[in-house]
Amino acid sequence: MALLLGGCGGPLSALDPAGPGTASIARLWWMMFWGSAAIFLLTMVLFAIVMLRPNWGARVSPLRWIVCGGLGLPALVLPPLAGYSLWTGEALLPTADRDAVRIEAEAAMWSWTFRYPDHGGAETVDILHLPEGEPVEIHLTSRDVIHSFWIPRLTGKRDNIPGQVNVLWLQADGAAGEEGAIEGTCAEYCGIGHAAMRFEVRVHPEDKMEAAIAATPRGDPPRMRTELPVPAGLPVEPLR
Amino acid sequence: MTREKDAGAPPEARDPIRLHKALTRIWGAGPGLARLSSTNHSVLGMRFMITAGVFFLIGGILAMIIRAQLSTPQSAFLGAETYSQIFTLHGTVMMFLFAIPMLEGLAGYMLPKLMGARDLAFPRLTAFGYWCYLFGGSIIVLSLLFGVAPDSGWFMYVPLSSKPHSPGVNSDVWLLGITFVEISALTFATTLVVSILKIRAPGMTLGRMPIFAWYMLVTSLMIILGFPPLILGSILLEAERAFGLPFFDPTRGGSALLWQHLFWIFGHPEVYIIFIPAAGVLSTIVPVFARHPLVGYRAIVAALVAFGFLSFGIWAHHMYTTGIPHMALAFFSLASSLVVVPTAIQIFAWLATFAHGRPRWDVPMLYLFGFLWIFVMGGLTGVMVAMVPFDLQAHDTHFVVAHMHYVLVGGFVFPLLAGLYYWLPLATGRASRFTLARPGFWLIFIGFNLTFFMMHLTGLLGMPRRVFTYPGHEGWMWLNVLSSIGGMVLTMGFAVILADLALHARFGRRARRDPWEGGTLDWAIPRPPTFYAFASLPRIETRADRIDPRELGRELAAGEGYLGDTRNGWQETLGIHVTTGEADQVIIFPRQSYEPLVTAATVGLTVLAMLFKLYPVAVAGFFVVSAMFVFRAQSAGLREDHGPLPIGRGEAVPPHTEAESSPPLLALVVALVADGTILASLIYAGFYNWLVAANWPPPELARGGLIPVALAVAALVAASGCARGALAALGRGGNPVPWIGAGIFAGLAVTGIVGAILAGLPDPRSHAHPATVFMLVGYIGLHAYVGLLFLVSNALRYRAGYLSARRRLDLRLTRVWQDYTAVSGIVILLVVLALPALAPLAEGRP
Amino acid sequence: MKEQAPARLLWMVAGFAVWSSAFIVLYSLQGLGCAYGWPDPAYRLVLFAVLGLHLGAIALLFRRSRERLASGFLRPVVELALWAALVATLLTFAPALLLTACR
Repeated sequence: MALLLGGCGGPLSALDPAGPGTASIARLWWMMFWGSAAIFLLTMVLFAIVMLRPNWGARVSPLRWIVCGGLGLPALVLPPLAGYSLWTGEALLPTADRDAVRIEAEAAMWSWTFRYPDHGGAETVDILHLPEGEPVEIHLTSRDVIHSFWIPRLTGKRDNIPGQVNVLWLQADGAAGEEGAIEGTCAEYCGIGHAAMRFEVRVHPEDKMEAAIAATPRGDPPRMRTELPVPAGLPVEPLR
Repeated sequence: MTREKDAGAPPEARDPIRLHKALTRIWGAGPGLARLSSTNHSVLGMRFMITAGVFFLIGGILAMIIRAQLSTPQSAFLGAETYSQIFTLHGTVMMFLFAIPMLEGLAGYMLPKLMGARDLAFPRLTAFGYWCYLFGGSIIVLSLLFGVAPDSGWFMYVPLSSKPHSPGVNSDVWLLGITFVEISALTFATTLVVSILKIRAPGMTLGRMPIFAWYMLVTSLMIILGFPPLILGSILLEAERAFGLPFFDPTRGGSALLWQHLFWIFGHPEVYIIFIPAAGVLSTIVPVFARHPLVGYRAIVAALVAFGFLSFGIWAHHMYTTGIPHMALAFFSLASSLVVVPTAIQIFAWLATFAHGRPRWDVPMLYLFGFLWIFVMGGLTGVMVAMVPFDLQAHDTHFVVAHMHYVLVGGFVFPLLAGLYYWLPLATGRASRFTLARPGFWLIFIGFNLTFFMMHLTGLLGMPRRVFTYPGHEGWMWLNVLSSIGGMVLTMGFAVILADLALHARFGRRARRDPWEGGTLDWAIPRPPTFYAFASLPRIETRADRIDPRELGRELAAGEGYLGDTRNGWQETLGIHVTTGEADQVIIFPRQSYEPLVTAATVGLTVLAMLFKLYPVAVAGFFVVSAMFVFRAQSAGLREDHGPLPIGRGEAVPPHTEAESSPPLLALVVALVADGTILASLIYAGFYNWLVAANWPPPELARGGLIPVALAVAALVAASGCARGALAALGRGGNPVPWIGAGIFAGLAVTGIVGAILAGLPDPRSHAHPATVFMLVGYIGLHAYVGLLFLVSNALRYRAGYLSARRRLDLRLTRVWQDYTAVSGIVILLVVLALPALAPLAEGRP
Repeated sequence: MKEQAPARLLWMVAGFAVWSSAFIVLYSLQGLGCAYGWPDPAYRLVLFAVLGLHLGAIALLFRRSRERLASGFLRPVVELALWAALVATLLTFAPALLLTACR
């Protein structure tokens, strides 16, 4: 438990929010965690009691056991949980009226290409620059197979699927200038280079975005990429 | 020929030893290699379970390799390529080659014994299914030795698994091998549905069935409806890979997400298909150890019905991240939450049974405790991942790996081990020693929790699934080390259990009848089970988990029940009316034979020919297999009318050849439900691509043409009419052959017209639209062809004397088949006519 | 004998068959509406109307089942299954229909 509460950090931790998306999901997680722990304990205690004290449970009729446990307990827990979760989900959706910055993330085996139409249309590879405190709409596409764009510290993942454009809304608060504090990864298995398909996230104040993008040399490999053994047969150029 | 002995002789005249010898002569499976011809449910059930056990060990070794690789960052143990084959095979082996066949084997072994029957409905089909499973499974596992094992994940997502990105034979191994194994699952499920509904002890109405039969009935029906979408998906993907029909290729009007839909419409019910039988085992064991009958029998049956349906409405909860709109996701999220209710009803019914009984503690209870601990936890994380926002984080991470293993190991392996220790004395006839069962349990329990609890945390810290290594700065390392240590402890636990089983088999003392004081029929038979299971069949007057097996066992062994004598060397059991439970026919099983083995081997060779792209050989194999099925049908049934046969207790019923509702008729209806699900999935695929895929409308529309379609409809209706004519003629005592001849003519006409329509289509490789129409029309052609096989078999069997005015079963089967072909054909032709009108509308999509 | 026809077993799945139908129809309409950009309030009302029809169908099944099924094992089980189907239909779809339809 101490491990659980203490060690929540890390560049890919979903429990260490750096934006409103992950913050709301982490809130949902902790609610569910404590609720689940309580229900688990309740079940185990009931099992212990019926095994050790046979007469205690016999006072409750079988029908009541089934109705209270099988219908009552879920009826008590599920509607609020599902309601809260759907409400959280609505808030995560990209909405048309938000004045969001647009960034395109194109996945290919096995690298990420990011384009910034709102910041001069430049392109970076495997390094994503985000404006601090601004809502961003990431337009996700794929050049070959299905990939999945995931920055656990900012929000949930969404797939890059060939033949369609998916849109993900996110926002990075703080962490500006902290190198290596936020990372992203491909979450959907996409072939032998899947493990190496990581990217680095750098957050800048809005007015420094364009300079930072322009200063990113192409082919500058992100920190974590070089430490992975490159799989045999990894092509230098993404497949068409 | 009819040397019928009087089965109604006074009981005292019977001698148990003589009866045992006579029955063993008839039912015995032969020594040595002759066992390969066995069609007996005990032999086959055990064989299924042992084979599945071997695959479990193989899958377990693969899991150990995975854990060794992930235990440290930047491990140089395995390369990415090998790792991808190993994790793909681990999932594939555990799901398709361990879990499903294991539950089938258990059900095949136990159900006849629990329901008071001597065998399953279709022994030769069961044997055929076993060989299909063995050959298909072997193809998949052996591919690893040649380095060509499937490597795109057990879910085989396109386009990664399609030709441009997986040019090797790896994906074909999966698609062909798994389809082969799934045919086995479908035949087995059909057998189980019919066996449960038709072949029980007289007096065992539905409300008196042992509860395990209800679980298996629901499971089998779920297999019937759940496996066809994946079979269709596999066929479409193989057609795309081998022949270029672009169902999943977005550049040619296909959709990558279509595969995910088809896969998960199968894949989610699959999880419940695995869990429900295991819950059935627990519902059988709980009352024995609670020393109180199971409470809430009706509530559980209703919960199972709800379970079965809801599990189908959940498939897209594996697809929350694919961009499906929130409203649609909410359907799946809410349905996923609702599934909790039937599960909770189960668990509280068990708790209530304990609460009202006088529980005692023994080894099976230990595993029940393990189940409850692990499964409840897995169920709770299941609710978590059912919630859309949380799943957006947890999806495709080790959190899901943890959840899934908690549910599947907790919900399947632990109940299975409980069942193993419960039924071991029955299967081996030896009392359990249990010296190693307890340490084995604790090793498994602790090892399991250590391995998989940690994965919740690695997942939340961002570790994706299926990465073969990681740099090491993410904070995952110690958790992975602990997981790997847990994996070793878990493995030791299974090794201890294996040792325990070996000791049991070698040193166990003879078990007495009904060692656990269970109240079900399985304990009323000799231990280890005889081939015929019941020397005579009981009459059931109470719920079938409240009988006294000791007293009943003695009576049945003495031949005091139904069919307490032998007749004509027939393998007999009783068929009953589905709802009243009264005996309505004597079912006479075909003798054991090598035909299932030979047919399955031929199918296996056909599959291999497709794998090696030797298509002429595959086509030849297809025709040889069709001929074998016709040939096989020639030896079934009886050549004479018998009228009612005495079955003891003063009752007499006709043999199944003359009965009103014979098992094969029900089986055909069940099989057609599966077949119709394949068609529905294909039509769904066509409309799905039309609705969402890129690059629509197609360059050239596939039009059936009004005149060919009208001709095809006429020929289909004529073929169905001929089948009815033949049946009516035979019923009047006339000659059905002219009608059969006309039916063959109509069938040939259907195939001819279908061929003409296919030839007139635009190139099916050009776009998903003509490809779908090609498959739809081909479906009619295939059914017309099988109809021809039916008709040829009918003609041959009429000449050989198997058909008479009273033995009309063959022609009734043909009529059902031809009716289905006509109805499905007309539906298809209407769709084919409608599609060209709809296709241009795709332009209107914003 | 009619009372005991095996087809009576279909009553056990009747309620959830309606639930399945609601699932298929609503999911298809949702997909169609999004693909062709149907205007929202009207579109949502159609979905609610479809849900209402299915709920009505289950209510009808309740009445019929009471007329058709004699007491015994089947009737209480069918009644439980129908209740489950009714609640499941309401809870699976009604909240979802309030949400964002096409994003």
